[in-house]
Amino acid sequence: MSQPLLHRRDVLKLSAAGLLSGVSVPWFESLASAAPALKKPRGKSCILLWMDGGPSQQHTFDPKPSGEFKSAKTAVPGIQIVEQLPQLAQCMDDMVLLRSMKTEINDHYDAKYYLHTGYKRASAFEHPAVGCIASSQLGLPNDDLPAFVTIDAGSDKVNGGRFYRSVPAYLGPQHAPLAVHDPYKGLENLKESGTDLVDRLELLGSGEAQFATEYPLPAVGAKQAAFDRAVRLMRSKRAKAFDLDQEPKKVREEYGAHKFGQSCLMARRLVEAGVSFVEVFHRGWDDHEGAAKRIAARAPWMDAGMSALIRDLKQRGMLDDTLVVWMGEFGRSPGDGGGHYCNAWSTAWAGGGLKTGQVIGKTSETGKNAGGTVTERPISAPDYIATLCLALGIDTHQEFTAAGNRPMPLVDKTAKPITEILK
Amino acid sequence: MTRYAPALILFALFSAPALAADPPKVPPPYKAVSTEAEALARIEELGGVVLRANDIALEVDFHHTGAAITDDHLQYLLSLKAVAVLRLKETVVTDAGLAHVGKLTGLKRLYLEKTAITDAGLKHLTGLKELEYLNLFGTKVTDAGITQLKALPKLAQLFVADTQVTAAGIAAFQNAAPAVRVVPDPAQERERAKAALETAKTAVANAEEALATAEKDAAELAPKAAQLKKELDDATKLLNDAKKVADDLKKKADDAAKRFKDGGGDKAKKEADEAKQKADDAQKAFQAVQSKTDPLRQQSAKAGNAKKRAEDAKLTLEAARQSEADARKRLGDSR
Repeated sequence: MSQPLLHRRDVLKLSAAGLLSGVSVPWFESLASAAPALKKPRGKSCILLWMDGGPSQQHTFDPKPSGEFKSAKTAVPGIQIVEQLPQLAQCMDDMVLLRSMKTEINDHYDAKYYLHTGYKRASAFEHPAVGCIASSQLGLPNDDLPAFVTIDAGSDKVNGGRFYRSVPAYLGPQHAPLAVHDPYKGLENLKESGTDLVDRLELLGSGEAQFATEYPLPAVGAKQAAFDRAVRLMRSKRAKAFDLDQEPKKVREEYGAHKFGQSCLMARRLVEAGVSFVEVFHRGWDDHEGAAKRIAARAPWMDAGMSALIRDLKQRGMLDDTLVVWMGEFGRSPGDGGGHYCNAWSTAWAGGGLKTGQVIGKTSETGKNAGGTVTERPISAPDYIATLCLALGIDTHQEFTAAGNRPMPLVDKTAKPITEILK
Repeated sequence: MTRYAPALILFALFSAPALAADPPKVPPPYKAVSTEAEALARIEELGGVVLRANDIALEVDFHHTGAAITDDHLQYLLSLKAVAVLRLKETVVTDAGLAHVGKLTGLKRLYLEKTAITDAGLKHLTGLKELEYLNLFGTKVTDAGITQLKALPKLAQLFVADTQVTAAGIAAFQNAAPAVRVVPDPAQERERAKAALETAKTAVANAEEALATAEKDAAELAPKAAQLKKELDDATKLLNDAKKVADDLKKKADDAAKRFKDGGGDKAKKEADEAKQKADDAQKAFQAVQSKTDPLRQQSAKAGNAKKRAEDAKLTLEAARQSEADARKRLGDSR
């Protein structure tokens, strides 16, 4: 091979320094040397469905005999979820339920940070969010589309504490997410204003070129990289992925007439167009007055949106290469779900080439505080992040260099990934 | 060269009249190559991405190359050792291109979704003895076309949604090649849509029952709420009094027991025994009052929130009915 082999980490460093942005780079994934354990030659995509505020596990994926919601059978014998999610129940052979999350933090913001980064929040130091990690590890450098997009699926009510926004930290600003504020509107700023864009860009370019020559700082490069990228996206045919009007009416209906379902549909379009990580967030799951009434009302659109997403990905042959994760920052207290509860809660995964159709972990079934304790295979936040990274084909053993030459492992060293769901 | 040069090149490529759409690229024509490195260079020049999992297997991705990759260009792949994965999604390759693809005998996964290929192209794939995954989503293939794929020995997944393949064609293929998972699976989808509807119906029945109970409570208990509240308050007062008496006697009994223990003799023992007896009786009396108060408390609470529970039950029922309507629609679509 006479081709230059540019290690992904080198690409990363170079682009962080602003040296590669805007330049076409031939690159080869050398996962083999980085992680001999990995079989997958190509990273996968991920759609994270984030139920902000902390959804109740007993009103969704871990019902109890004494619980407020009745359980119903699913497509997998022996696995039951609440009867309020009939379509998802029929997707169970493509899903894995992790029922033994045990994640230490009951405070909204700190928990959101912990479950997005795998690290506890510390003052004066920022850890990259998992979407940014995926962008840096799976996205193609110099791609038309950003590798990480967030979609705001609206909210029931304003609660659930301060909103967490994914930060790339030391991975570099090019891995910050592109934010879609309303799936119905797509990317509002993507249309060119006026007819003299080329002239204006040239004028701006010549001015900036001089500045960059005089001040060759990484920040200048990063700013220009972001700008170049916006222009490239504006002109790319692939930007159609942000436009839901391109979908047939029947498909739009299947995802449900709710912002959440339509966000799921946009997520599928984006992954189809090559985006590595999409985070759809819906706010308002902090049900202090009790979860039953609220989740009963949300169940139809959540069931329609998420099940349509799984079915649609499957039909297109994309489910093996796309991991769907449903979760919040913690679960709710056993019983009525009135309180925050990090001690025993659930996340639901689908696709991703995982060994699906199974449940990992258990919570107590009966007793005074049924469901209050993990009785089998506790899953910590680092365990969860490590599993997510491995499922996407990301080498979890690599180390980055943060500010001040501080070595940062991608995933906390204590992490014990859930290997029983990985193929 | 300044840092901004790439952007300037970009502007040169996209001249003003072409702004509305990406400009047509003129791909360099196919030229015979003699080495693998040369082939790789040509592929990348065309916008293809080559990924390497290990020393042997290669993944070649031509997705997003637009009109750059023509059927002829696929010949470059023949100079690569062991192409295991080939992504041609949304490219302009045609049946003629599949003649080259059919020679990649190590191919395990082939992505042809949303291309112009037809049944005629599929016949070139019959020699791919290692092929496990074949994606034909959104192509023009038909029942006759996929019949040719029955002989692929390792095929495990075949995707034919959004094509002209019919439910009968899928069933026939599935019969002939049971080891292959064909997606979609109309028979299974119908079964599942039915099962989902059954679950949704049960949820509606449960929600109706809950609403009926709540409405019964609202009708029967709510008017009595004030009365029950008063009864509960009175009972609670009695209960508190009984508890105070019981506690006082318990304290006296404890004191007597202590005096006896400190050497108070037979008299102290007698007093202690008597005090204990009184305390136990008081405790029993307290428990008797309590056993009457607890149900009253529950009833009063039920009466107090009956209206709210009925309101909530209505919302829950409404949501359950929405799920049922969705399930019914899905079942209709699956027919």
